[in-house]
Amino acid sequence: MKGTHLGEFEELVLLTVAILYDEAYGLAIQREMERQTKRSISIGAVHAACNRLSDKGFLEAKFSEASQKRGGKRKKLYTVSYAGQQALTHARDLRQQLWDQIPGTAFQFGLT
Amino acid sequence: MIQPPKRVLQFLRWFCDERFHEEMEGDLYEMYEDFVERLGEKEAKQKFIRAAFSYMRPYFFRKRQAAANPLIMHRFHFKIAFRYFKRNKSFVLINVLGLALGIACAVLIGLLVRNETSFDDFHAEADRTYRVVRVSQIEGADEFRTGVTFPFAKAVREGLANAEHVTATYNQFNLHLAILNEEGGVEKKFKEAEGGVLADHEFFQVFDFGEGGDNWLLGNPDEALTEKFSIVLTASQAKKYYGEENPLGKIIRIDNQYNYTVKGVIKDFPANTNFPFTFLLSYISLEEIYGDIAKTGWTGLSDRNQCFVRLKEGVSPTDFNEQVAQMHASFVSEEIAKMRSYKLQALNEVHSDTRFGNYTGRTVSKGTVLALLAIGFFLLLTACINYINLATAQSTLRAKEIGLRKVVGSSRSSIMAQALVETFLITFLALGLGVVVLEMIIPYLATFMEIEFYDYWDASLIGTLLILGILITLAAGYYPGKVLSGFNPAQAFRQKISRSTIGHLSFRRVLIVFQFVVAQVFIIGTIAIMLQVNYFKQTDWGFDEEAVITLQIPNADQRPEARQRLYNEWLDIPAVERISFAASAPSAADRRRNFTNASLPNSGNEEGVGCEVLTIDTAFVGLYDIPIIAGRDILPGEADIRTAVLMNETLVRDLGFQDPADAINQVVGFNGGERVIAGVVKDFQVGSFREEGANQRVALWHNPRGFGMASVKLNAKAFDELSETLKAIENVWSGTFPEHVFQYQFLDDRLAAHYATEARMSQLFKFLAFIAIFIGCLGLYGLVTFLLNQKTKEIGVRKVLGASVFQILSLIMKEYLGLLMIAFVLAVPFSYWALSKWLENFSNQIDLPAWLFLAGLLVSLLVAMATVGFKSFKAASKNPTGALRLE
Repeated sequence: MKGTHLGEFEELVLLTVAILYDEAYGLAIQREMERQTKRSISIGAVHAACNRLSDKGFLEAKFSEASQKRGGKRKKLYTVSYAGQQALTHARDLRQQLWDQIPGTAFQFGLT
Repeated sequence: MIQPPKRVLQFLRWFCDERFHEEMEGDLYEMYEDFVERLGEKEAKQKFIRAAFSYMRPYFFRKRQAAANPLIMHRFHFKIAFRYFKRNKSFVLINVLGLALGIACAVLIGLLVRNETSFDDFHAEADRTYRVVRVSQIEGADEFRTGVTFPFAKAVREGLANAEHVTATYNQFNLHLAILNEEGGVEKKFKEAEGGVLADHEFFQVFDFGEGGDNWLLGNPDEALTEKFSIVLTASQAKKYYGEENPLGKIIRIDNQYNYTVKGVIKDFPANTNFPFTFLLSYISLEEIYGDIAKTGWTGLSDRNQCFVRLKEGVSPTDFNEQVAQMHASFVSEEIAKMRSYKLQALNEVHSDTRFGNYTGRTVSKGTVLALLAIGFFLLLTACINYINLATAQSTLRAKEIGLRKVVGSSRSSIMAQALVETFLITFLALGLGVVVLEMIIPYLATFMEIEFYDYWDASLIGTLLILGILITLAAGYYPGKVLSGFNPAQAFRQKISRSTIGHLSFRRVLIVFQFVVAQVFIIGTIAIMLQVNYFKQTDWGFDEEAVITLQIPNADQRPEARQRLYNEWLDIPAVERISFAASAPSAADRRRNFTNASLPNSGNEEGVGCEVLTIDTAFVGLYDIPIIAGRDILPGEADIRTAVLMNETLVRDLGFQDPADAINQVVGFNGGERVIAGVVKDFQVGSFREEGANQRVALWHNPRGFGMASVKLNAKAFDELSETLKAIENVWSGTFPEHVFQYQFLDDRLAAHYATEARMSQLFKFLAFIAIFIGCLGLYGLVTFLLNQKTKEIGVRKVLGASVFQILSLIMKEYLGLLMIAFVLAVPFSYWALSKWLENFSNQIDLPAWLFLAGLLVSLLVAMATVGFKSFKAASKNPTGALRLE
C-alpha cells in the first residue's frame, strides 16, 4: 500500500527530524542532512518529503510562534510520530534481518 | 531589511498550493538572509532562485478542487439566477429591454452596412475588374465623370492586349415598351422607369453575377447581344411580358421607334448590384440609332456610356492607365487628350465613391459606412453600460448571499461564474427580443430608406448574433462579477458594505458620463441634420417651383406639330396657366449638360469663358418667374429666336461687364455662332447641390430642336380639382402621343430628390438617436430607482428634520447635473468635429450655431431630469412615517 512505504530519502529525513528533535523545520533539516550526508540536497525536496511524511502520518507538524525574522513567517516544526518511529524501527529491523542472513563467505573478496 | 526577489516569491505563490506558502516562504527568507551574509547579494540571488526552482515539483502544484459533478453546480447557478430574476423583475425588464433595443439597432446597422458594401462583390475575378472613369479638367477644376465616348470600349478591346475582357454599357431611363403580337399589332404597353441597358457581347464575360457563366436560361449567349436590335430579358421580366409563353423570337417595340427581337432570357440580377436592370439591349444597335457618332464619335460624351474592363492577371492598373492614355491620344485632338484623363476604378468602389455616380443613382461613401458602424457600436455599448451600472449597484443587496457562499467554501471563480450565468441569461433573453424588434423594424426601415433587404437570415447572421451574445455577456458581466466576487465575507455580515465602497464609484460615474456624451452627441447630430435638410428645403432656387408639373417629351417624337397641339389643347384647360417647352426643367440633376464657350469679338480674349447652355422657349423665364435684372426676355418672333440670348449674372460678370445693363445688346460669339444679349437674369440653381460648377455660368436661348421637357404651370384653381385637371392633361397627352405612357411629376417633388439621401439619413438618425436616448433613460431610471430605495430612510429622516421636497430633489439631482455638465464639455468638440466633416459634402451648408449645442444640453438635461425627477419626486413626497416605520 502507498501509505506505509518508506523511501530511502524519506528515511533519511525522518531520522534527521529525530536527531534535531526540538528544532526540526525545513531549512534546519536540509542543513543537517547536507552536513551528515555530504550530499547537496535541495530545500524543495526536503519540503516535499516532510509534507508527504506528514500525509502518511509519520511526522507531526505544528507552527512555532511568529517572529520578526523569516519575513514574519512562522516555522513549521516537525516531530516524529509514533507511527514514524514504528516505521523507522521496522526498516532498521528489516535491514538487520537481511544482514543476519548473509552467509559469511559472501563478502570475502580475497584472491581466488 | 533584506528582501529576497519579490517576483520569484510571487511566482511561487502563484503556482504552489496555498497550504505550503507559509512554510516555504519562511524557509526561503531565512535561507536568503544566510546566503546574503555569507556570499553577498549577487550570488545569494542566484542561489535563491535555484532553491526556489526546487519547489517546481508536482507535489506542490495548486490542486484544482474539481466539483463532484460540474453539471450540478451549473444547474445550481441557473436556479439561483432564475430565483434572483423572479425577485427583481424590474431589473430584468430594464436590462432586457435596453439590451434588446441595442442589439436590434446594431444588427440593423450591420445588415445595412453589409448590404451596401456587398455591391457587385459576387462576380468572378471581381478584384481584376474595373470601371474606366474620366477626370476632366474644366476651367482648372477637376470634374469627375463616368462617361466614355462610343468607340472607346471597342478601341480598348482591340488595341490593348492587357485587357482580358472589355464591355461597354449605355443605360436608358423611362423607356416605353410595346409588346407586339404575331401580326405586328401592339398587345400591351409598359413604361419602364428604371429603364434598360445597352450592353455588348462581352458583358457576361466581365460580369458573371456569381453564376459562373450559367446566366442563360434561354437563347444563345454567343449570339444574343451581337446582333443589332436584339433584347435579352431577365426571367421575371419575361414572365411579366409573356407569362408562361416562350418569349424567344418575339418583337418588342421600344419608344415607338425600334423593333427589338427577344434573343434570350437570363436569370434575374441580385438586388445588390450596380446594374439595376431587367433587360439588356445589344450595344451595337446604337450604330443604327445614332449613326456614325456611335462608330467614330470621339468627342461627344454621356455619363450613361460606361466601360468596364477585366485586366489580365498581374497587370497593374497604373500601367494600364498609361496605355489607355496613349491609345486615347491617338484618336482625339491634342486639346481633348490633355483635358480628359481616363483611369481605372476598382469595381468595389463603384458603389462607394461619391464623386462618380453609378446606374443605381445611389452611392454610399466609406465615411457613411464607418459612421454607421460607430453608431451601432455606441448603441450596444450604452446598453452594456446600463447593465454594468445596474448590476453593480444591485450587488450591495447581495452582499450577504455572497458572504454566506464564501463562508461555505465557494471560490471566487464560482461566484464569477454565477454572475456571468446571470448576464448570459439576460443577454440571450434580450437577443431573442432583439430579433423580434429587428423583424418589426426592418419593413419600416426598408420603406423609408428605400433599400431592399434580401434574405438576410443566413448562417453568418446567426453566427454573428451568437458571437455578439457571448461578447456582450463578457463585456457586461465581467465587472459586476468582479465586484460581487470581491466581497469580503466578514465585512458583508457586519453590513459594512455600502453603496460607495462597492465597485469604484468613480468608475460608474465615468460610465454614466459616457452615456450622457453618447446621448448628447446624438441629440446635437440629429438637430444639425434636421437643420441642414430644412435648409435644403428652403433653398432659394432662384425660380418659382410651386404648382409646376413636368412631363418628358418622348425623344422619338420631337415634331413641332405635336408640341403645338399639346400647347393649344392644354391651354384650354381652365386650371392651366402657362406652358413652356425646354431642354429640361431648371435644377434637374439628370439633364444632359451642354457646354459651350462664350466670347466677346474683338475683346482680345478669343477663347472666352465656358458656360452651360440651356435651351428654352419664350415662355420659360416667365413661367418660372426668374427675375430679369436688365434688358428683356426673349420675345416670340423669328428675330429673337434666331439671335437673342439670355445670360445669368455670373456669366455676364465673367465676360467683363461690371454692370449687367452694359451687356445689353452686346454681340457674343458662341463657338462659331453669334448672338445678341437680350437680357440678364438673376442667378438660379441650374443643377443639384453636389454638382461642381452648379449655379454658375449659364446662357439661355431658343432652339426648338432640343425640347425634352414640358412644364405646365397650374393656377390656384387646379388644386381644388386636382384629379380632374390631371385627367384632362392626360387626355390631351394620349391624344397627341397615343403610344407613350402618360407620366408627370411635380417639380417640387423632383427638387426634393436632390436632398433625398440627406432626408433619409435624417430619418434614420432621428430613429437611432431616439433609441440611444431611450436606452440611456432606461438605465438612469433603473439606477435612480435603486438608489432611492436605499435612501428611503435618509429621506425620511431629512423630512422629519424639516427638509422640503425641493431640497431633497435638488440633493439627488445635484450629482447627475454635474455629470451631465462634464459630458457636455466632452460632447461639444466631438460633435462639432463630426458635423463639420459631414457638412463639407455640400456646396450650400448651414453654419453650426452655438444654440445647437446648447439645445443638445437642454434636451439631455430635460430628459435626464424628467427621468430622475419623476422617481425622486415620488420618493421625496412620501410620508416620512412610512419610511421610518420599516424595520
